Amino acid sequence: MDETVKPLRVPPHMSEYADKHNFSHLLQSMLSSLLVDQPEDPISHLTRLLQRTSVDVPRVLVLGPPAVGKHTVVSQLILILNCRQDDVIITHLFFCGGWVLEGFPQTRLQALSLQQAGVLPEHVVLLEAPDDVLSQRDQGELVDPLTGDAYHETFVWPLDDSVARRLEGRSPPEGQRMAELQRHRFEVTGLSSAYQHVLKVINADQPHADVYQQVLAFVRTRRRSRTPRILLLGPPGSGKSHQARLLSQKYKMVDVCCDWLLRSVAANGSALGEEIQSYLGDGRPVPDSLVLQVLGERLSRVDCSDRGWILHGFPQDLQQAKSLLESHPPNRVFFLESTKEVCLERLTLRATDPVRGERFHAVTRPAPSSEVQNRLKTRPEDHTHSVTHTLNQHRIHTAGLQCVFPHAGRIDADQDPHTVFESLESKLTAD
Amino acid sequence: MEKMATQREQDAADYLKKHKIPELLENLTSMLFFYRPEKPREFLVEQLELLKISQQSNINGPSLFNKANLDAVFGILDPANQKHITFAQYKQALTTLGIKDINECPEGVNEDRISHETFKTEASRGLQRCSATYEKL
Repeated sequence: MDETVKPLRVPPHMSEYADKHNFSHLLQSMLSSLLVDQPEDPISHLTRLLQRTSVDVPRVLVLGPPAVGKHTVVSQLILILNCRQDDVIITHLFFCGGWVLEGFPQTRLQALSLQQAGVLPEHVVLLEAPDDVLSQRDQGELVDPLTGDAYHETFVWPLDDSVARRLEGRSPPEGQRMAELQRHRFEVTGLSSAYQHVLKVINADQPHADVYQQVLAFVRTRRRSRTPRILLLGPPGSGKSHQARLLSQKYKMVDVCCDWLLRSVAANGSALGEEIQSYLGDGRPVPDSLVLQVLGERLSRVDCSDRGWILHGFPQDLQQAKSLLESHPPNRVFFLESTKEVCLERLTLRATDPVRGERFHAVTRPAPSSEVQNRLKTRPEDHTHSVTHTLNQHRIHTAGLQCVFPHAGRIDADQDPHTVFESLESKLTAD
Repeated sequence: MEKMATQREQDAADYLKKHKIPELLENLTSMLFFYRPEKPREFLVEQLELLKISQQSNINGPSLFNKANLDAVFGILDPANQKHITFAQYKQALTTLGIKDINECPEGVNEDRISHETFKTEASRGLQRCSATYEKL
């Protein structure tokens, strides 16, 4: 009962289960549905929601200037997504098979009113094209009077001849088109910012089949948010610790550096710690079983389950990787690829000032004065021959590691840290 | 415009409280994590239907703990088998089980000896309150 004596451990298979069934999304949809509709009987409402084949219902807005091709895209989307098209706003749209709205809202104010009414799109497509393309399309626009479908004398010719025969030109006065276009350009910034988190701008100055494919691909993407369990692999000197620190500062996950963890356990005075200390003191590598024990314990703690973790410095070979996969599989793995020369330069030029304890690097962070420069000391691990040795060791094992993690992302770690961080981030948030 | 937003927020907050939505979602999530069913949506639908029956007919709703668990908890608190525990132990145990609004004056509180039976009764009532995440009809 006492938390200090037996601290809470969350088994890792709970997070895996959550990831596998995409829980956070499910629960979020349930909660937002309840809040928007506020049914008198939430239990039945939730039951009905869960019994639908998918909680993911298409909710799409297709926006853009006049004559950009919204109607063409929308009519195809409706067929594929099997949902309704609505020109008029109706509340309680949530229980139908989904909806696609064309050309509305047109201003930021309308967007905000929609939001207050509870109409929240999952995807907003903004079709854009330069003005001259738009006027060209506008001039050749033809409409089928029976179905209301839009065609064009050059770009979109109907497949059926009988349809072709009854097409009529539709040419509103020049002034009206210009006015509509201007209004759109005026409002588009406000609209884009209103929907910025679900917006995608698609270039409509391409064959309409391509436009449609891009729109469909976007509409099928799903937002997933998962607790991060990230593994950073790479040769020494590729910048793993640095990137891990940056990422954990930004995203608040726990930074687990294997080396540091082993040292802190060795220093804490437990029986396990003493065993580890005996290896560290002699300079021998700590056996896998001990490392796995220490890691397992750390990664099962509540802060790691809550905030996620980013691990580096382990595994270093195939066997360790397989053991890690069994106990605490990561959900994102990245290889920080770096050439031998860059790693050598980064590591061998490191030095520490023994008086102040500050760390410097001859190229990126040189010592402030010659006095400090003279007393700088380099660690034995950072001498050229030991670095070369560790780099070679790492190279031997890389192929094995790549087999264990075939879907890992590859990052060019030779670039400056800021660029590396940005590519890591974009890969992390892309999924 | 601003006033409308706050009013709607207030309405939403009131709705959540009235129907005990946070507790409902928390219970459902705990069930999911504990049982980890292969088909989570079907499982949730089952739990919700059980809850609905509980709401309508006043039977106990689904809960992660049963009578055997309560016996086990009491056993941990009372290893010497004296058949009673202190008030502090009783309160700590009920809090750990996730029960809120604990009865501060159960039978036996004056002598600081809460019996096994009293503990079980209070715990069962508390657990029933936790799982009754709906508006009383």
